[in-house]
Amino acid sequence: MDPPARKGATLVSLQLDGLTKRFGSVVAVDDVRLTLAENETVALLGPSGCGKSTLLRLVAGLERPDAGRLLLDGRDVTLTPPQRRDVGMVFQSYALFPHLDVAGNVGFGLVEGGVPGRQREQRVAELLELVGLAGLGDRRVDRLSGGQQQRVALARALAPDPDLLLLDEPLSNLDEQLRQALKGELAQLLGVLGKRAFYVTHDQAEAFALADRVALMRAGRIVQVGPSEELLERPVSGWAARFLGHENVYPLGDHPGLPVERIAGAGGEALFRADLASLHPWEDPGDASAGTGSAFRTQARVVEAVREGLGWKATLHVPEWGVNVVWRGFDRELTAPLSPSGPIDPGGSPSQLLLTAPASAWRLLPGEGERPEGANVRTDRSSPEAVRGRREERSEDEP
Amino acid sequence: MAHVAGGVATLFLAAFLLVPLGVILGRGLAPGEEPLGAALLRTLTDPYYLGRIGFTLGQALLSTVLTVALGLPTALLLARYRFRGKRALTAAFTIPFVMPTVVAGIGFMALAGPRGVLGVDLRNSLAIVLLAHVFYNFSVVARLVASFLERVAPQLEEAASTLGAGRWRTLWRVTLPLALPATLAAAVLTFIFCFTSFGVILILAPAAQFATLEVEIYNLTARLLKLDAAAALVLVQLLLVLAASSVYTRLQARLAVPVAPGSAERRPTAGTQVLLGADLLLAGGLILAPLLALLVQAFTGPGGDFPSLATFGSLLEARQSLGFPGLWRALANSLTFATLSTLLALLIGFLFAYAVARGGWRVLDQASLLPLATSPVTLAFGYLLTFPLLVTTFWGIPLAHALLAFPFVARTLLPALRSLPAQQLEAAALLGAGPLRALWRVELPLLRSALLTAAAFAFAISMGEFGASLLLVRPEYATLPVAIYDRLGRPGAVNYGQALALAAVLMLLTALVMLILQRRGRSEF
Repeated sequence: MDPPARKGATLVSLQLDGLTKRFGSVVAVDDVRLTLAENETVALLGPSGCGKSTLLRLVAGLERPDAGRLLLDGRDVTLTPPQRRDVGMVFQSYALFPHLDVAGNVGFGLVEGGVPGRQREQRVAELLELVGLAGLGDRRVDRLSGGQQQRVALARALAPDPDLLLLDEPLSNLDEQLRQALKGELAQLLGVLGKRAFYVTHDQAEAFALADRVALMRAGRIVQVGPSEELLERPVSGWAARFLGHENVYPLGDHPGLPVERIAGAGGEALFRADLASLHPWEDPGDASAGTGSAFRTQARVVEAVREGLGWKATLHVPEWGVNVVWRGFDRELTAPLSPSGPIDPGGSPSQLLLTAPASAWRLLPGEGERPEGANVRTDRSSPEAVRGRREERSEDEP
Repeated sequence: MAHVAGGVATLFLAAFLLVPLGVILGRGLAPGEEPLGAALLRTLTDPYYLGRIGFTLGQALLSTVLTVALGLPTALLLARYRFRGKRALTAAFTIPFVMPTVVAGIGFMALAGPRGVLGVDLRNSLAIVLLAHVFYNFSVVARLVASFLERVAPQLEEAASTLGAGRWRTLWRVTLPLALPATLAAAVLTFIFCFTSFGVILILAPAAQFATLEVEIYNLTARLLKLDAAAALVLVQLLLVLAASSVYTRLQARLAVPVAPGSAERRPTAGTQVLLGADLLLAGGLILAPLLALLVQAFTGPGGDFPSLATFGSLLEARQSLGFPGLWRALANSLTFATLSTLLALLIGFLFAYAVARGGWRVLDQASLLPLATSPVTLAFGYLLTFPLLVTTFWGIPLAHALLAFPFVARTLLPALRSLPAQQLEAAALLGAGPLRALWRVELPLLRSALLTAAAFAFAISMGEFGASLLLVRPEYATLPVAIYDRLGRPGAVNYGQALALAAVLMLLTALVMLILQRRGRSEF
């Protein structure tokens, strides 16, 4: 006897268990393990060619994995053909049927599901209402704007009320303004529907806006999974940090002066979070008001400063650490003047600043394949006392 | 300069296409003293001619249905499955399209004629007419629809499957509806080809009850000298073909579909493999059987010995008593006419394409399809009526061939000319080259590949052209197809053997030209 269907009763709703897909000698998806909880939206984020779309196609059943299993609400669907998976998909190109009108497209899956005519019409109207296209049912799909086509594609995928919604870069074919608008709508819609969704994108802003958790993918592997803040604050590797937009990532081997605890034998990379740092005028009286309590107080010199919108992007040289650091900030955050035109004449008096930052600004990145752990920050050399001591030495030279 | 080119091209088209058509029109509508339309009405109410119109329509419809029935599944399989030998097979499918009608006709004679290898005599039956028409047009349907389906984004079918449609449901609800415009377009094209069928009928089913309008026009003109009735039938045929052509152009406009990169080709499953094998065996057999039969019989000696060159030998030694030339003369005529008409077609085609691309002569663009709608026999008939003196000279045939090849040349050169970047010409101008110098030093070299393709097309068309040649020919100017038909019309095994041998020569020559075509990429067709 078959056990009774327990749809939604299990905690585990979608489980990717060691999914692997090869194309010839290329491993497009490499032993991916991931679990989506009920009502959760997970974004697959990665550069183009990292295998994220292939992974989505594996989940949809459009590709067959070479290894691994796929469990949907506890049932093994690894070999189930797509038409029997109960999974809705929004394609990057929308893939609307050009021979059907809008209602025909939205109702396509309902016909396959055997929904009778009256009920089908009602459901189609309901969905068009939901995506803001009420009354456009008899429109030809090639007469719609890009944004409208996108909405039809979404309504079509949602119509059969699938167990899981897959979205493959659904906003990438739209212009910037429309993308911003639709991003908000889509986030709201996913929240209202409470549907679990799997969202593929190469745009981190999109991933962070729409997803409860983000899975960062590189070369077929998922290198890090977590809520967006976790990914941003504690990237797992130098690659992850750079991909997510961090500019101050340093290989330990090239920079012996970095204030991080090294793990014996390990290469590794360190991240400096300039967003946690502040700049103060060096000439500021030696009183401890500027950045007191900061773990790091060190001298910095402006190498280059460029206007960026209403703020600045400054490249600072920090002699103590032996690196250049990129710092961004708005005018109002500036307590010290940045020379607007860099680089500074090396013969003249360099524009000197005091850079302060909390201990958490420096992180040792654990590397891919390991779980990120707390930062191993070495504070002895960069303690406020040490910085002040050196500062006093310097100030004697400058009357 | 573009306007000079446009003017010359227009003058040529007007003189050698529009004026002859106009003369036929006048002759058909108001011959002699009769009131306007009286002769046309008389012809159209004559039960015999009505019967001919009915038969022509009926056989064309039947041929089209059969062609689509075989071509559509083949197109689906070609577009969606990956298998060994697919490229070779696709190339083989182009063979019938370029084979001269005479070669195809003789091929089916060798297969299922009175002396055919199969031992069944299907001559003068509807079956052999339909078979030959399917042979001829099957690849048009298969290739047109397959190349369309290959461009259709595979995501459409994937989307259907994520929405719950299995393979057959997807085929029924997505793939077939998408392929419908392309299939209809290919069907209309097939219908036009079959409707104006001439050589195939003349060779395979010469009995009176199988005469199409085209054959009837030829008979009325060349044998019965009833030119008024012929003109009336030309009008009927032209109107019907133009109506079908307009349907075709309308369908072409609907062929825009979402295109996505990536291939939808899959490996066939076991069940599909059986289907694929059966379909390709049938299609491949239909294409190859007549051509193989032709080769086998051509290389069989009088005593049944194989391989033997005896039939070819008899061609060389035979002193032709009745005025129609032997192999060398026919070959020399064919090559001369083909060369002349190719040069002429290239010249006019280039002037035309230049005027459209550079001078914006949109009207010409539409006009270039007109010769396609005009059948060879109609054109030759028009020449006979309009230029009775020209036709007695050497120039009648090359002119007609050039005009028949012209649309293909124009359609090949036009996109190539349009795709030339304007900056290169501007650069040439700034470097001191005037329009003529730029044409010579920049445009023509860049167009070399397209010009070669167009030339190969024109050459192959002229080599194989039958209807116009037959009507315009004088014995000393007989081309290979005409010489073959002449042999076939005479009694005896020797004449039959010579027809086979000549057809084999023509077939190999055409294959040679086709090889050049394949190397040189494709044109719009």
